[in-house]
Amino acid sequence: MKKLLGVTLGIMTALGGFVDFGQIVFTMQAGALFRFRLLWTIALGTLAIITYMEMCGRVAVVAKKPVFVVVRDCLGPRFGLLVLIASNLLNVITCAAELGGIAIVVRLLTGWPEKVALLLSVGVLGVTIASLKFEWIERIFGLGGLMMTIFAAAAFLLHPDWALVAHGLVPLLTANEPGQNLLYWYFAVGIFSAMLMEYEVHFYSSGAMEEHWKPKDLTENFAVASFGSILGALLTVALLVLGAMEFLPRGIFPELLSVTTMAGALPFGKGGLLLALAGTLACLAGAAVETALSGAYNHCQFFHSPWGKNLPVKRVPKFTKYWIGMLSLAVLMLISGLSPLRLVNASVVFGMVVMPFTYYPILRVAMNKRVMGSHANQRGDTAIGALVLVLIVGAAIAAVPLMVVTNFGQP
Amino acid sequence: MSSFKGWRRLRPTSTILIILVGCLTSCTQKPITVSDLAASLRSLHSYAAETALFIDYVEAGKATMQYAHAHLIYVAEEVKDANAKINTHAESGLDLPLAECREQYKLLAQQLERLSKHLDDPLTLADVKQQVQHIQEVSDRTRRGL
Repeated sequence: MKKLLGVTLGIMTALGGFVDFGQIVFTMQAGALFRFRLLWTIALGTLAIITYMEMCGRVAVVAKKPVFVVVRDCLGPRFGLLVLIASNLLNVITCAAELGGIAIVVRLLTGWPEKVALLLSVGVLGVTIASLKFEWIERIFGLGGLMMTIFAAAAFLLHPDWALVAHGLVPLLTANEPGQNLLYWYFAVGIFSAMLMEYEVHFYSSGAMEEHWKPKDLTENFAVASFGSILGALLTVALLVLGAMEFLPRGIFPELLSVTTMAGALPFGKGGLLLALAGTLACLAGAAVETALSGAYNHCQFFHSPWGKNLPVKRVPKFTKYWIGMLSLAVLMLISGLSPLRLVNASVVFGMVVMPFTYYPILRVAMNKRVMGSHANQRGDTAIGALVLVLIVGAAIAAVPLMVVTNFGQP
Repeated sequence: MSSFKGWRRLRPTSTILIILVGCLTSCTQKPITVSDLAASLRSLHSYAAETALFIDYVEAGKATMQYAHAHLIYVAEEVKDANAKINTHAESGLDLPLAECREQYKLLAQQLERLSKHLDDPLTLADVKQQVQHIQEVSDRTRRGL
């Protein structure tokens, strides 16, 4: 019974922590431009994140190697260092985007000036990270993110044509509208990337080690990675449906968080708006915390420094300084005037470019029988992992050119 | 040999500088093209439609005051930025639609300001809604005429 409760809690936490700023923006905009036609990218992204999240957890549990130890072992210290720099730069950009989003949501909730909202929110997040153990950090933000289910309820109440929605699961190579193909592919790559953001696997793999998972917990690892991601993906589908049904008929291209939250709250009263704002806030805060901690995990794992949220600060000084530094750098980026929306676009696109260098080492270790023993990949796992990796490499090559020619996805 | 080494060390920096200067120069001098203007008119339509949707939302009593005021500030900032982007010269033949686009952005900014001052006045809400719907029509018509 206790085990079942633990698994359920893990799944709920994974569901609540699944959505972030990038997903909210990209999926709603994709729905507003292409109705349900890009739903297949969510399905593909879900398959990809389940595959690699499960592998990361398994490698962490069996080989006792979190992601950046694997990256260093596989790519070597020099190239591995480049990947570390790129990944942590990406984590800072993503963290800044999420913090910028938090400041906007706090302003929408309270009316406070954005900079005040930003500094207070960062202070609260800093104290939360410093004072809580890993499992509570994960649970508070993950379970808080469950308030996002109001977006799913709103999408359901709009009574979408489910046959048409299901038709969106069939991949199409073109947008069906003249001159829109590049934009269509920009959003396809964007949604795929937003669902596979690397900080999620950095955090998940480090979390498995923080919580001392053992090989007997591998069933839980599979359940959390698969059911948590599937339920999270359904929430992402709801965001796309809202974009398609609320914005597309009106010719709205949503670029503001205040507009996207309105979509989730439209069928409800003021309570619905507050719930949508609170859910968005929890998701963004969870992602900000995960990116800041991921930066610290990556750095310490790569340089073999002691790390762990559950260890006393005195034993992990570099780890502590690093996550504080990540938050501070992100705040500085925002104060210098960078727009959160631009940062989200940059993080999703550049995240795609760095992605193969994180996922390839994981696949190699997960299929290595010498390291993983009887827990090494089955042929099917490796085949799916390799297929996903090919798609990731293709998307990584296309990401920057698509960003340039579409001017960050402007219709 | 040493000068060659020095040149090699200088080359990446110079190349980046040249590219940066080139980009900045092209950004400031590039005239507005048909596709730029079409994109700007599409954004104008989107902002106006967002405002109409927002008015419906406020009229239904579903928005909190903090949300409503903050949202209007964000939309007004976006409109201001979008208008600033087209505040330059256009390719030949685009002067009239560009002037129309700027005019509509100005009108939308005025309506947003009016809205933020009279959020609790149903008559103003209805009137602003009419005005933003008109802005949507004009932006669509101008875009079709490009």
